[in-house]
Amino acid sequence: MLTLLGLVVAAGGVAARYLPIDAMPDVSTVQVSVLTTAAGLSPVEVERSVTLPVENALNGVPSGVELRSVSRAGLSTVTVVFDDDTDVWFARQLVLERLRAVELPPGASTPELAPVSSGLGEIFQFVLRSDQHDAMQLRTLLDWEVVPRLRRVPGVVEVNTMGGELKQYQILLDRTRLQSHGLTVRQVVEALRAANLSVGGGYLERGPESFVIRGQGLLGDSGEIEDVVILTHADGTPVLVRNVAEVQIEAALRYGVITRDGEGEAVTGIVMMLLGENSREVVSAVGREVRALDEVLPPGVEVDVVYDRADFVGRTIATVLKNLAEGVVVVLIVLALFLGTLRGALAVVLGIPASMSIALFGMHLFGVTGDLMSLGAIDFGFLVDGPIVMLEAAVAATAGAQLAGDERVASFTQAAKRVARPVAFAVAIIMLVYVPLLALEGIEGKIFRPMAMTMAFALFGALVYSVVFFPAVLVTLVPTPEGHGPRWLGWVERAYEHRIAGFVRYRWLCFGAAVAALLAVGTLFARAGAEFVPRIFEGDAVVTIRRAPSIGLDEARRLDLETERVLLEFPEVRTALAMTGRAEVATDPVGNDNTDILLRLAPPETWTSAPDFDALSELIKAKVESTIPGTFVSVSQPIEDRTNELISGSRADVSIQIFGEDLGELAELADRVGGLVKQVRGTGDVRVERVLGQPTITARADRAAMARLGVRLEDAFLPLQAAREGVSVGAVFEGQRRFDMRVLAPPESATVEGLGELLVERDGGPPVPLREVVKLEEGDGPSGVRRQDRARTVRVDVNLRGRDLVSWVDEARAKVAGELGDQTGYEVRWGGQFENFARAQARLAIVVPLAIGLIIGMLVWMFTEARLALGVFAIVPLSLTGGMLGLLSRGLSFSLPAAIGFIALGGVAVLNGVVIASEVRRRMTEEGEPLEAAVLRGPVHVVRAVLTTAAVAALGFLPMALSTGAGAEVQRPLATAVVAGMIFGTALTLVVLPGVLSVALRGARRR
Amino acid sequence: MKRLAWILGALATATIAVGGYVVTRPEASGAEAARPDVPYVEDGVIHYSESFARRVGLATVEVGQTEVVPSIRVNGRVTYDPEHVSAVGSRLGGLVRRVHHYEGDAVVEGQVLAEIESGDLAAAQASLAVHHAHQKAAERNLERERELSQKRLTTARELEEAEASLAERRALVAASHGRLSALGGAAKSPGVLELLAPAGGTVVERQVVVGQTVGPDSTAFRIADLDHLWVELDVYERHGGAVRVGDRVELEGVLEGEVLEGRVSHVGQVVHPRTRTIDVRVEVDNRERRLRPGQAVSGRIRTAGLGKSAMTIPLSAVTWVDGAPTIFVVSDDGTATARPVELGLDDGERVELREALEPGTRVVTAGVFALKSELYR
Repeated sequence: MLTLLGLVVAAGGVAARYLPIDAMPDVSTVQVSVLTTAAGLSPVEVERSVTLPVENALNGVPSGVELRSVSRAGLSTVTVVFDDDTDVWFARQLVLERLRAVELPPGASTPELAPVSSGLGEIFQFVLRSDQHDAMQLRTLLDWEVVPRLRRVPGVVEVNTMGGELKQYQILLDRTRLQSHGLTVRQVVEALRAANLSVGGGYLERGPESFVIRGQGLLGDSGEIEDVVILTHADGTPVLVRNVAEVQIEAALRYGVITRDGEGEAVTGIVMMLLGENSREVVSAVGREVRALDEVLPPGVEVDVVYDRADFVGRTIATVLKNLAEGVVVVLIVLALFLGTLRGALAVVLGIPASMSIALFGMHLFGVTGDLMSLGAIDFGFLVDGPIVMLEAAVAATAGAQLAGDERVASFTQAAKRVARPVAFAVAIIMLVYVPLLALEGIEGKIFRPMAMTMAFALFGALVYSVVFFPAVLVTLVPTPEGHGPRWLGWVERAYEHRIAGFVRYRWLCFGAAVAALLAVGTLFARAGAEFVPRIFEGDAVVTIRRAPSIGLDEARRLDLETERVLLEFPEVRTALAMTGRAEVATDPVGNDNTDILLRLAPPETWTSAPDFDALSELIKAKVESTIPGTFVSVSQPIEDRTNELISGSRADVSIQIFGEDLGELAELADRVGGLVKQVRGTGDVRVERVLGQPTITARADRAAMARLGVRLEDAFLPLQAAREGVSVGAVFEGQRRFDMRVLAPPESATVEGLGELLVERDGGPPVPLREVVKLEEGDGPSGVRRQDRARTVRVDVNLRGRDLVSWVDEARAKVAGELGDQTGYEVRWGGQFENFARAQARLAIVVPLAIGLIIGMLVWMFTEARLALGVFAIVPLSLTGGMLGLLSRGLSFSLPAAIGFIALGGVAVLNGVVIASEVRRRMTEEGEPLEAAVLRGPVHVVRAVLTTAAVAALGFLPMALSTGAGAEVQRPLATAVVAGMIFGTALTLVVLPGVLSVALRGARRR
Repeated sequence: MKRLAWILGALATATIAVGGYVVTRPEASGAEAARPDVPYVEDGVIHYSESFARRVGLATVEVGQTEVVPSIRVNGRVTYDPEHVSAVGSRLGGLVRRVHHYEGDAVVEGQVLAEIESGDLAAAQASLAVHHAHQKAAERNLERERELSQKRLTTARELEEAEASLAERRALVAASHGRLSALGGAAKSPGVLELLAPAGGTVVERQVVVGQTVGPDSTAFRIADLDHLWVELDVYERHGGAVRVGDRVELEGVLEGEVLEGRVSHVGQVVHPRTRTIDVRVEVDNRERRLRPGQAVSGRIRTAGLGKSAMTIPLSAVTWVDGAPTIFVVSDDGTATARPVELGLDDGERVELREALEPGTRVVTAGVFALKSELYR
């Protein structure tokens, strides 16, 4: 038996070695994003001609639960959210199949799927730096040397690059020279397209050998492009590209900019991890690869890491391990103290590795990742409860007796056998209370299911250990005890013996007081509010800045640099990297008005400006907004930010969505809602999404003028394409590196007038200025159109300060509904973090009664007496009082971790009750004691066991409740609820339960 | 059992104490911790501090009544002023012997530009000489006949014949003269034609080199007075009605950043069918030699006919908010209000306000974007 135990523990060690480790459970949904670029189309055009067809195709895709889209200038992103249990690869397959039928306008790219990644996907970010290389060289190095190496790392799905200058070959047309040769832009475009190809010509056989034939005509450098013939005049003079244009190597038109530390622009790469990979391994492999980069990079180029998930993972895992280790030590000490036998304590503690091994097997089996939630919430105290009760029984039975050999074995076995059934039931009950948690869905499910599963596995392990292995360990390790436990416990036992009669006599008073306390504390607690999941400090920060949608890239860059300088004035900030807009190859539908500044922070212990992250966030926000005009700051954290974005498309606490058709109407409603919620107490910042705000120059075809002048629309719009973005004419290959080649004919001035001066070709005559064939209008258009479930929507984001989500939402909701009245065709929905909370609440409304039902069911099964079962169960709500008091006194509000703490609390309270009740009943049935005596003596007999299990369970969580390490924020409410609840609950159990039992059993007997 | 009651009492007290603390605990501070210097918007009015105004470089200007003259953008090219250009051609075939002036040389009227050796000219000169000789002979013959006739030594008929012969010779001489002068006048050396400048100016074109044969129909030199040039602008037909003689014209693209001014001197009456444009002529003074004939220019015509006096603001004061052009009106108490406006004509710098603001109203001209950003907060 012991060999088997050894094997189990050894296998557990191996299992621990290969357990996927991450900082937090991945809460993002299974989603597939379809990205389509449509160069030059305005948001409304993109919506109509790209987003709608794609949405229509994806509508009703099997297992799809949500369809949302963002249409921005030149970019459409449609996201389908799938059922959580859908395989992401299967989902992508479904989406791809649907996409095949979509017809898009010319100019739109083929729809592509965004990489498979999640909120935890961005695991590593770095910056290339050099004194000797310019922005374009750095970007080229990044794209062609660094990225391919990093993509090779197993588990890396994508490396997004941004910043610097994307190298592009540009053919800059000289309009005058073009005209003097009688050439048109189109001719140049076509000539270049036709002059850049390679062909295969099969092979030739000559004698015994064969020769492959190939035609090589790919353009390789600027010189070759300049020599491309556009046309040959009748007299034989060729017109070359060099005659009408300058070929230059320039930066592609930018849609984003990266700056760093207020010093200047930077080039950055973001490494994305494949969904479901082991982030610890991937990130360390990436780190190794990055360190090895020095060998391939030219001298002078250095890689600076600006974000490394390994830091956070390392810190959280350290927190978890520290808490666990401390938990073990505390349990050991408490056991030694309570049992008075170190060997006994050791035998009990041996249950921890054993049950953990079994838990690890379960985790592997069900694909649970080791993280803050799954490993962090394990209370070793719970695991050792079973063995404690058995040990206690054995010790009590054999104390003082001089037994030897078989006799000792027999009496140990006897004692163990007696308590085996209640122990098995009690542990099973605790295990079962975790099971309903598996029914949680959405984010809360993703966060807490791993926790519930791990704990259930561990408890199952504890059950196996206490029933299968423990008797053997007990017999082997523990000698016959000389006395029953330490002296102080005896004193406690005697003191309890003295008072128990009083407790039973004044049972109604006791019971009443407990119920009163429960009601009082419950009322207070209900008023204290609730939050969803406490914020976990990740160690780094993301400062998100929103500006007016019309901001230009240069202005944004200037402001970014200034903001970085302001941020660096905080001693807590080590580096700041600002990312505005999007990369040339868009993956994120954001514009110039969106800036994320990634801050590397110093360790919190060294902070001087603020005690904690929330306070620091406030300071940062106030300082930046007071110094830099036109900025709207919100402070978040890398994972938090990304996750929130993925989950609901919103990063705010509460996101009020208004659905409807007319953009103008939506904008007005949003304004009104924003104004209303501002008046609600606890409103931090309100941001009304602006629908309009993107200045636009629209060229509207004037068909009559075009007819008069003989201009084709296609020709009229070609100069618009060539003006800034350029007309793509293929690519130039430098070895393996591929660079875009574009024809550009920029306008003379950046005005409507300048654009109007661009020349348009026409049939049978000299070219005419664009303004003669189109109407050029300057105006204000939508900066983006967001849709959800096939309706346009505008969002009002609200972040709260100093008030809990639920009560705020209730108040704001009533206010908005009251003031706004009914708007036909428009709908207001409330979402954000709050949405998740509401859903979790709805689930818990089912789960908690279910858990209660299960507990009662188990109790009834065990006692075969409903009254007794109910009597024991009556303890459960009473023990919650303590948990609530604990949370209240620490200023923690009700949250999901706390709820889980309460569930665990209920389980342990039942364990205590079962131990007492079954002892009382045993005395009555087996030893024939009268009810009164049994009720008085039973509890006294097991008080040691009860106190020990309670103390162990409570104190095992103590390190967690007091921990301040990374990730402790989530565990704190849980642990606090358990610690306080156990202490209070045990006291209450000992005081109230005998009385309750006397009533319950009397009734049972009478029947 | 006093003890029990004591325990319960303590418990209740503790409960109440904790609860009381929780209830009366101050709300999480932070909003109070630092009062950020951030403008706030209330009922569409932006309240800002003085330091904010300094940070964004806020500048204002009073609305004012000014003249706005809209303009039309046009392209065109520089041509010679026909009144100040002359072409010099050889009137007969020949060989170029010398070229005296080349492109760029300034010449005055009557200056020799080139010499052409011409057989035709030589023939004409020879024939003149022959005819002169013949005429002389005829004159002498007539004189002799007269003397003889007085002495009645000859017949009247012979005298008449001599007179007729002289008249004929004279006519032939006159004809030769006429021909010669038509061919270029009397030459200093025989058979050499001198090409003379018909008017002062600059040699802008020279088609001949020494040794070249030229025909009677070729143009050898073009001399233009570059002080006076025309700019012919293409105005698309739809703008035809707006342009009037006398409108001010600003020409760009002449020299980097320089603007040349002129006035419309003629508006064409026909539309070119190929280009769909009307010619608008500007006579320009080019004494500084900034324009060159053939050069493409672009410019704007200030169409005074459409201009008017109106309440205007600088274009830099206008931004777009919620789909409407908007300006920010400031008041003395450090607030700015966004005000949607309807814009009228603009002249590239100032723009007309369709609805009048109170005179003396101050609008923001710098820092507009910062204020706009506040609206988007």
